[in-house]
Amino acid sequence: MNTLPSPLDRPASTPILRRLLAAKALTPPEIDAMELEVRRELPWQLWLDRGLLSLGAVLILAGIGYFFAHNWNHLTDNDKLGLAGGAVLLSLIGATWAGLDLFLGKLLLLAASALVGVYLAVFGQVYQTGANSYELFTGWALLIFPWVALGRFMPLWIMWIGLLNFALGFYWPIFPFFGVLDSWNVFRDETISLLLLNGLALLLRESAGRWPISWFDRGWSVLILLTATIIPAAMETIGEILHTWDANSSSKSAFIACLLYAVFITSLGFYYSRLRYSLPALAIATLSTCMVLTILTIRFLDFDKPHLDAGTWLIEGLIVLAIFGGGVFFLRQQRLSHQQN
Amino acid sequence: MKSLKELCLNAGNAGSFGPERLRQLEEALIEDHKSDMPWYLHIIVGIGAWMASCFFLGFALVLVDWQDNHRMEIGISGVVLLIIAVVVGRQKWGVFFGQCALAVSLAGQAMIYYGFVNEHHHPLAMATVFSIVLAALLYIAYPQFLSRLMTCFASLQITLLWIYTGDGEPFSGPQRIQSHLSELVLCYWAFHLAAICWCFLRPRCSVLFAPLGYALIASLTAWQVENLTNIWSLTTTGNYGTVWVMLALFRTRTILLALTILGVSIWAAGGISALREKPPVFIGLALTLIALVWLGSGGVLLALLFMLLGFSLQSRVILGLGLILFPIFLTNYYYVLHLDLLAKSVVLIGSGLAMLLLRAGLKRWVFIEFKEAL
Repeated sequence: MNTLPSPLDRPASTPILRRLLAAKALTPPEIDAMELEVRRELPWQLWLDRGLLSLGAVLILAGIGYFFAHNWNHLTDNDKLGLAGGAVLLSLIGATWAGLDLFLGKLLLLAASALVGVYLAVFGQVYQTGANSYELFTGWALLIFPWVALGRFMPLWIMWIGLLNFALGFYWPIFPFFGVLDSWNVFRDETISLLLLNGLALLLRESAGRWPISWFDRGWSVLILLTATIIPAAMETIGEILHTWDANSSSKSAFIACLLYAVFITSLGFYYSRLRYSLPALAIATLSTCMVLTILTIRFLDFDKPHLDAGTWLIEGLIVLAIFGGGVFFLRQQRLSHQQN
Repeated sequence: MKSLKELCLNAGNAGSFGPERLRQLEEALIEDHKSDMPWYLHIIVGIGAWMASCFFLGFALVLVDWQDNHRMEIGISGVVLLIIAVVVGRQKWGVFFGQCALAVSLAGQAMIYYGFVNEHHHPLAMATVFSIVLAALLYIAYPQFLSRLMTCFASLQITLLWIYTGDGEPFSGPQRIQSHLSELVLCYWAFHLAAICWCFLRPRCSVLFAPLGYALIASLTAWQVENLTNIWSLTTTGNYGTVWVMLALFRTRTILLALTILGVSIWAAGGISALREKPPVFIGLALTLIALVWLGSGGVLLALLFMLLGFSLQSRVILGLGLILFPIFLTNYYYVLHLDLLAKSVVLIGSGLAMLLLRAGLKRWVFIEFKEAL
């Protein structure tokens, strides 16, 4: 007995209806009537409600910011600290009053988290702490961690990881040990540390995603973390490949980087195709692989030569097509095999 | 959200759906799912084709030694490549050959412009004619989504460049006179808005003209971003002489945008019948739009139009574009206001309170049955 759900039982949408019209499976009058019904079913009220609330909150916060900026020189240090701290407290009290289960409460918690950064910046200016940027971001992340953990709100977690990314990004250029690093080593350390940080976050998100927690069920957060993990990995690999054009460098580290990148991408590919299917995640991994492979072939064909012959351009063009064509072919195969299963 | 089956069974007078018809629909859906490509796969194909076309262009230019006296040969090679691309692209030989055809087509088009556009004799006017002819021919001959989108976008932007500069600065030639400039700009803006509505709001047109619609949306976005960076006022210095031209160019465009938003809202709500059912809602919307026009927030209105279109058409690409553009244009609007910090603060807080009041009003009088669902 066939127990697979019929495609007709899936939620209808305007793009699907229009594709059926293109395939001549539906007639124009039928489409007009169905589209109207689909549009009426859309969550207009929820969108308007949340959009106006978010916009109102952001505009008022920005207005308060401008008010402080205007009166900044006339305020005493205590006023400045009191106002910044008071704004944090008010947002927190508002969030507790509204309740963290409602969108308003979550929004106020997000505002409180952002205002902690303002408070720290004011604190640094008043007391001339001489703190570095990375210390500001680390302190910010540490201070808001308790309510990030309690807030049950995915955008808050993403913001928190963003703060850690900034902290790491600002840390390496002023690395205090073994003297000042040169720009190549700063680039390398930044990409590797960001890869590890975001990779760990992705790993935790995927592990926790197996638990039945409703607020965790946000697919977009996986894609953001995956992108934040893959970008430094691809940049580091591309950097290592291009660095071999430097006469003083060896190609050993580039080889190791390519090898590690291949293992990393293969693992991701296996996970998102076999264990937890996600075509957008596979597409992100495939795009980055195509870019790395393109750079690798550009390096092999020695594009830094002053006079390139026509054949080199042609071959590279064909190789690029093969790489990207292969990538898209792989993704389409994955999609088809997933549909059949 | 209702399923397709429920929609079919509720279709009433619009159509009859017996078991046989439902089975046909099911088959069509399965077939569609096999051939359909998500938008992000289109992006990967597009990036690959664009990069490959650059290499092919390099190949062609090195081959003919990149000399001015070989321009005609380059142009003819471009035409030959374009014909090959169209022939290959029309076959169903899989992704690789499709991508090859797209890359060769892009390289061929670049070679045609380089080969045939005379840089000393009305270069932009000639490039504009070429781009429109190429876009129209390729739209018919090469029915591939990305090719149609890219050639139409190129044509729309080249035409925009011609409208603003004529063959004047930064090119050699006389500048366009003021009145012609404002008339052309307004007509072109109105054309963009009308064509977007025509391509997307009517399902019959959308089937054939969706790529053109996306190209128009990309072109309008690029135009508004170009306005943000003052590209046109810099390249057409001297053409913005009078207050009338300024008003015509900026205020009338905003009015056209507001009218389009009102029209799309009425369409999304179900047409004129919805207007008759809930006139206060549309009067409120019209008043809000008048206020936004009066405040001169053109970019914000464009982002709102994209959000409205994207949401009602369930198009993630258009909705995403609107959501990205909205904070950019809103920030820019407040940033460039000629007010001191205190006045800006009052305006911002006032706008924020207006949003919250609007929300409260909607909840009280319009969306009475609405309860927030998480």
